[in-house]
Amino acid sequence: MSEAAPLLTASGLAFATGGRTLVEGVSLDVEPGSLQVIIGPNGAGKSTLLRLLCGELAPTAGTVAYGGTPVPTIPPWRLAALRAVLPQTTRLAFPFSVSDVARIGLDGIGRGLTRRDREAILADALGRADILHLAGRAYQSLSGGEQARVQFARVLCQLAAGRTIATGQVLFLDEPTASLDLRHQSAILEAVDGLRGRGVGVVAILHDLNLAAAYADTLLVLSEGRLVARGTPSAILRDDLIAEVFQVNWPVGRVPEGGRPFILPRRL
Amino acid sequence: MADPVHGDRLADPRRRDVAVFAGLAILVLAVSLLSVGVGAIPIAPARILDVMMRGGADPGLARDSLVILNIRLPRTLLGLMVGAGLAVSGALMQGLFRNPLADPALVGVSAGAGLAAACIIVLGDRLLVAFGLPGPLPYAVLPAAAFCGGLTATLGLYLVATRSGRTSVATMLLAGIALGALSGAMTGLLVYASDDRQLRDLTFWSLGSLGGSTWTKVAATAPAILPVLIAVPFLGRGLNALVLGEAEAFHLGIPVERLKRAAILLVAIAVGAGVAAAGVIGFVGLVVPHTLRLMIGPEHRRLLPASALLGGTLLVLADVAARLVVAPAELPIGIVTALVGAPVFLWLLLARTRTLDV
Repeated sequence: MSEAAPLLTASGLAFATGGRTLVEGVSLDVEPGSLQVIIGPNGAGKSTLLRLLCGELAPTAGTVAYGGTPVPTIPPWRLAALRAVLPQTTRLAFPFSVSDVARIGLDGIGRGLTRRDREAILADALGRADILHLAGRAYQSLSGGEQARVQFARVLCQLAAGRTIATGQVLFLDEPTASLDLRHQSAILEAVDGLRGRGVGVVAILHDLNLAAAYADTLLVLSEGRLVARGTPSAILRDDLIAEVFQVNWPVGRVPEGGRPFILPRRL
Repeated sequence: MADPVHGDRLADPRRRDVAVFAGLAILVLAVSLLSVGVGAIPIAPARILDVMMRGGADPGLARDSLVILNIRLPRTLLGLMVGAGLAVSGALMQGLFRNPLADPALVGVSAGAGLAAACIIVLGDRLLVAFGLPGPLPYAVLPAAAFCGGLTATLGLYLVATRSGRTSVATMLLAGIALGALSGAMTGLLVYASDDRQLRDLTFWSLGSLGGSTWTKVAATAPAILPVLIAVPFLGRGLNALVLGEAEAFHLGIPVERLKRAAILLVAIAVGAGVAAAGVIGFVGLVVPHTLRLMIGPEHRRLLPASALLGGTLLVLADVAARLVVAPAELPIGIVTALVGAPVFLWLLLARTRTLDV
């Protein structure tokens, strides 16, 4: 199938808590440079799956391995070089400045870097996230969308620092575009494309199916904790599947050039 | 050229750090000179230096030398250590709870340590008799007991107030009140079991004082607090990441559970030793880190050592005030810190409700 070995292999993942099964029987590989988007209704277990894949939660069954090494045997600092996670929202208790928050991405694993390298990585990340002009501001004073871009810059810092000690990185994004305007949605996904060009494998949760269709090479459809379908956006985004999984009768169309699917809201 | 990464205000962070730490070190020295100099027998700074240089060799300095070396120097050193320990504990707890309102005295950690110390004061001798051991209890038992009390209270508080990685401020403060009330009630019970001397000691514990400072206390406190002060800067990186949340800190490669255990242990040691030496002193751990965040920002690798310096300075200054205000008597130092700290706490609470939901 693929010429390169997968960066991450998850097999038979299940997670249950409080007598409820949130994720069951999920297996997937993350190939270098791929972008897989997890879609599904609220409560389908998307965030739980992401937390299992990144090693934050220990699965009740199944395994996650990075480059063949099972997660429980990888020390935290090593794991931090192999993967980065962009959370949905992050609030701070203390008035850290924007550049301080982004710099935290270098603190965990960037200790071996020279001061000059660290500053160069930081400036590059702030530029890519389009927040250079906010660098001196207090994080708490920013809007939700601006805060999300700061967190993205922090993740870019972590990946850049991790690249100096590890190859084959995976990036997890939990609704990276949720609070962003159109320009910054596009900017973040373009930056993610840039990372894919360097071989980073990406797994993202997106609610916007049109964005998912535009950028993903594989869609993973999660419903009630199970992977019910996976494939290219053209194969997955069909009227019947949307109706079944999301419980709406929204029509899927095709853009004239390329035939890429899109979905339009329809009033009941 | 303006540096876009740091902004204009923080043009050169390294130069600013050197200035801040030099300033804080000078403050420590100045306040120490003041503390050694003032009292019933005033001693000028030049004469203090004379005594420190030539000690008892000069008979003309004998009286001052006695006052300085036997009374004021151990008192000042103890004040510096206890203040540093309390301020650093405050900064650690605030980082751990991700909340600027945590303070060892406010949330019951000091009360827990105080209760354990009170048990030793009142019941220690009886326990010795009961087990047929020769007395008196060595002084080191007191800080050890206070440490255990502080550790129990910190762990209990953490378990109660933190659910799935998020600390509820309301729960933390209310649990702290409950812990404080419980410790207070149990200390109250001990009052009925104590004789006159023990009663005086208990009053001293509950309000705090550096009055009984001796070299013995200095020698018992230093091996507890100094290692904490040395260890604490190594937690800075981890606490910075923890500001983002426990999950995020883990994503960044921080061994979160180990970090939390280390922070709790260091707080319990510093508060335990501080309470054993000087009783329950509130608000130092609240006011010092807060003031420093306004001055040098919340970055923990700077905040923690700076807290140690400013905490020592403030506590010694409070002790000077406690000695002067009602001279020749002395106020308990806890009253002085509460008079300054409580309004600051209120102000913090108000400022917080305006900007964030609690």
